[in-house]
Amino acid sequence: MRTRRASNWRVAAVALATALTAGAALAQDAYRLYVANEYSADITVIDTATNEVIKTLTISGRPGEVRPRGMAVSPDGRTIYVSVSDFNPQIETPEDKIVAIDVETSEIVGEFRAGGNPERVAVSPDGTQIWAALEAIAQGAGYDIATGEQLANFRVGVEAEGVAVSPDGKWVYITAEATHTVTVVDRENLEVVKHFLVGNRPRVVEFSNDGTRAYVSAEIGGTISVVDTSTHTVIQTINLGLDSRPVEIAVDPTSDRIYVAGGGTSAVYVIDTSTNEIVATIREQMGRRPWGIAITPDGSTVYTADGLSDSVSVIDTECLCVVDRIEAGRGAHSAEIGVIPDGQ
Amino acid sequence: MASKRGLLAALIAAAFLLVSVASAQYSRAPFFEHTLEVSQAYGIHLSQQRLDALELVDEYAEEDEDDEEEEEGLDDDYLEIVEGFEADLARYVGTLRAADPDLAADIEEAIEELEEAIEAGEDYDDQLVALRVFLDAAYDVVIPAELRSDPAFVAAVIAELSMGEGGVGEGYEEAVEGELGAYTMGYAALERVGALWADIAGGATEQQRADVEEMLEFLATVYPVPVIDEPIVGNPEEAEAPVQRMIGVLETVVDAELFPGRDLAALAAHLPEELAGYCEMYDAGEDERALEGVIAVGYLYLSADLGDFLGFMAPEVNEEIVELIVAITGLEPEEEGDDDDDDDDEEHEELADPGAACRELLEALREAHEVFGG
Repeated sequence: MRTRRASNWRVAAVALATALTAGAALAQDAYRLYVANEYSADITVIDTATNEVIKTLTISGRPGEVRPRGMAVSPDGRTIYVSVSDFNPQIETPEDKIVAIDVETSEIVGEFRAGGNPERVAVSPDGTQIWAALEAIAQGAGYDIATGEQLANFRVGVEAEGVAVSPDGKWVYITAEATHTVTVVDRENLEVVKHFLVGNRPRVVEFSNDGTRAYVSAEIGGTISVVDTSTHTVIQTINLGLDSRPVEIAVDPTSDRIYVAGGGTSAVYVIDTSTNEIVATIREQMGRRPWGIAITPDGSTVYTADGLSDSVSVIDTECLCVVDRIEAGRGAHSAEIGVIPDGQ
Repeated sequence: MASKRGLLAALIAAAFLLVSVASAQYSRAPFFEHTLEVSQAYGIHLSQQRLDALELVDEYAEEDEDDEEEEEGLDDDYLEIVEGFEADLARYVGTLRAADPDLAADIEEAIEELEEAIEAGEDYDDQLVALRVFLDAAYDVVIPAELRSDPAFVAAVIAELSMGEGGVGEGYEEAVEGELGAYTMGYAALERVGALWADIAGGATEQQRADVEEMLEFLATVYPVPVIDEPIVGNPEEAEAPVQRMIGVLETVVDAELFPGRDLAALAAHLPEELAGYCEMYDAGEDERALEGVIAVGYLYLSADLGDFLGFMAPEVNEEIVELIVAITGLEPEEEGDDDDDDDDEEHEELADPGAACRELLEALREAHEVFGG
């Protein structure tokens, strides 16, 4: 997930600085923004250097019947994983799967089955496992990326939605919309250690860069629950307003900020996690119903997937203002950023 | 068992106290302030919506006569629309009978005549018109005038017709599962929601009005025709997201909380408080009015995620509550994978001592409240 990747990027940034100091001339990494479009059943690929769409990758030839939703990126940034499902949670179909996309070529390079309507996915810090929230069957499940084999599955709350793996790889957090809960899985022992209550209709969970905190968005509650990951307890609730309808969260790898997509108000809430205060609310020029959100590894730019305007809003994190708008597919749902090392 | 429950309750309560956040952004809470009246208004509107749906089906059948052989009566796909009148009636008939027994009797008779006409495969236009007149009159008798004109109350009714049983969201979901009658009910609910919105739209800002109407327009594309011949292929939740967004905007228009389960602890506290008086009505022999209250409370429990939460965190408590709600009211919780099979057609047997069951439910709801530290 972004948080863990951020740690890797921090390491990379230090290595890069060292190399430059030594006089080595290294090319910069290039980034690609991936936007999963729920209703057009495709992925919009954007070059973040130019904010131009460079490809639209078809996930299914049956838009309206098959949908890509949540995404995650491998620790090295080179592979994007997309959860794909049909629209009917009542039946098991081959469309319930996780698709792997190579960032360099933006081609699908693999897929494996994940029955039960996978809604969102997360990758373990060692890059060997992928975890999915299986919405229709109220389960969280782990898969071996190399073989596609299901390693374990656990009963979680009703309508499983968000999932994240802690930066140290110990914990998997899985949210459930209808029960308003988060389930904690001990990844090493493969057992559930706790369920706890968060705000109403929790969507997404993300860990902080150091892994000591987790943040859970609650769409109907209009809140972000701040979780102490040493005890798996909510220690604070940040109120964004009942009409905010927060969904995805982007953790800035370079600062204490998190950015929250507010679908109800078509806004992005900027929170300083050192105080857990909202420091800015970005509304001007935003697309409609931002739901997905991602931040570049250098922390300079935030992108939102705007589901009602089928667009991506580009936010400069210096001015905290929208600087560009990019057309996406129908029902832009989630956003994730992949890396092409050395900008090949 | 009690100690296990007690420990569980203590653990959850401790966790919940840390989670609870003041969410008093809106000054009104019609589902809490007028639990019974919202349920009554919803029941009458649902019956009117059934009449709307039957008219739409009838019109469609007449248009279709040119293409196919005329068939008498209502197609089986739509019988579920008719079967709901009795359940709607139970939401309000006690209050109606106390205020206007003749009108209550007229409605019961009109429902019976409509059901008989449909069962006999006869034309039912006259029965439909008669029942509509009686229902309109009943609304004025049962719902106090100050609530009928209260935008927050109207918005709560819109929320029920949008997100509740037989509503816009559910109608589409069930249409994907093959329930053709549910689709037409959803279509009729959307028309009713549009009409109710027109009544309160004057209090909205230009932006709020644009936002609500955009959602209504989108929902109109989800429900492009009043009647369908085959199940819809697509996303069963297609209508749910815009419905929720619309209700979210409505909250800001009427300055009222319209998601009654947003604060589960508050709801868990409210339900036993609300129910207590209705259990006493049983003791006083006012069974019909008591049942109205139990239905209002039970429906909120089942529909506002409280049951889902307790079913996951304290399943024994939830199981007892659900069993009692079903036994007293005949309400049915929606189960995962529920496909409306034959089990749902079983007749609800009346309890010998509903007052005792009500008191058991009251105790169980108090125990549920304790789960939240109450």
